[in-house]
Amino acid sequence: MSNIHTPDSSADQVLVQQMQNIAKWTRVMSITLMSLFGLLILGSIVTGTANDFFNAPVAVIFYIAIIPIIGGYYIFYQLLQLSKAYKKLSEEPNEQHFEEMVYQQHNFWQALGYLFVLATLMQMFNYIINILNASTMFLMSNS
Amino acid sequence: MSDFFNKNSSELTAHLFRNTARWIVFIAVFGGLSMLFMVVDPIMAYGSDLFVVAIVLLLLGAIFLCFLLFQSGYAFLKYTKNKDPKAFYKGIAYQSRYWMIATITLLCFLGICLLMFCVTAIF
Repeated sequence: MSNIHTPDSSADQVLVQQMQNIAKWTRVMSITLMSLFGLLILGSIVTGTANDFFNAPVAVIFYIAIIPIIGGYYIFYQLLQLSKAYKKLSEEPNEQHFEEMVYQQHNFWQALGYLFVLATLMQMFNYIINILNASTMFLMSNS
Repeated sequence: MSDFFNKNSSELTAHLFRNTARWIVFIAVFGGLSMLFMVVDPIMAYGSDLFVVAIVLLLLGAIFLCFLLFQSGYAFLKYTKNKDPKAFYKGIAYQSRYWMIATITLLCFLGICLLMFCVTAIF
């Protein structure tokens, strides 16, 4: 493998230990976030605040409920997979596991990046709509 | 293991690795900037209330995390250019620190929220 360096079990003990650490912390984080997210959704259904979502127009349901739920769970799931990939690599460092880890890492950061871009675009969209609303109100009041 | 890999798969992995490093740097830079704006906003609007101080501290922690993330992404990007294993080691070490601090912060934050909830429910 000429392009990238892969850890060797005997030579890179420190590296393997770092990978074990990453596997441990990413696992804790993904499981915590998944449980928290599940509790929040369950809580909102139980307390009845979810009714607001179901009574709202379709677009609002789509923006407020669907994107964060699907996007969030997809990212947490990718994080869990990344954790498993790091664990496998630290247990048995070889090129196949290294490739799996790189693939998972790419999936996770790309998904997070796309969600980040989407959230920014939604904010911008909201901002533009507000400006348009304000300018329409201003024009209507002057006419 | 050499049978498993051919040059093409190795090229693909290197390409994925480079892409990942770019995403990490992108998220770190824009995440850090947006956190920075969020720090400025409450200070300008509310002054130095205890609640605002807590939020500012939380956001400063988030900026530090973005800095760590940037360092790891930058190290990985440097590694894809120079092929120096030391840069790879550095990137992994930064990521390890990032995940450790991020998880501990999250757990502390949840603990504080739970404590506040319990205190409010009891009294």
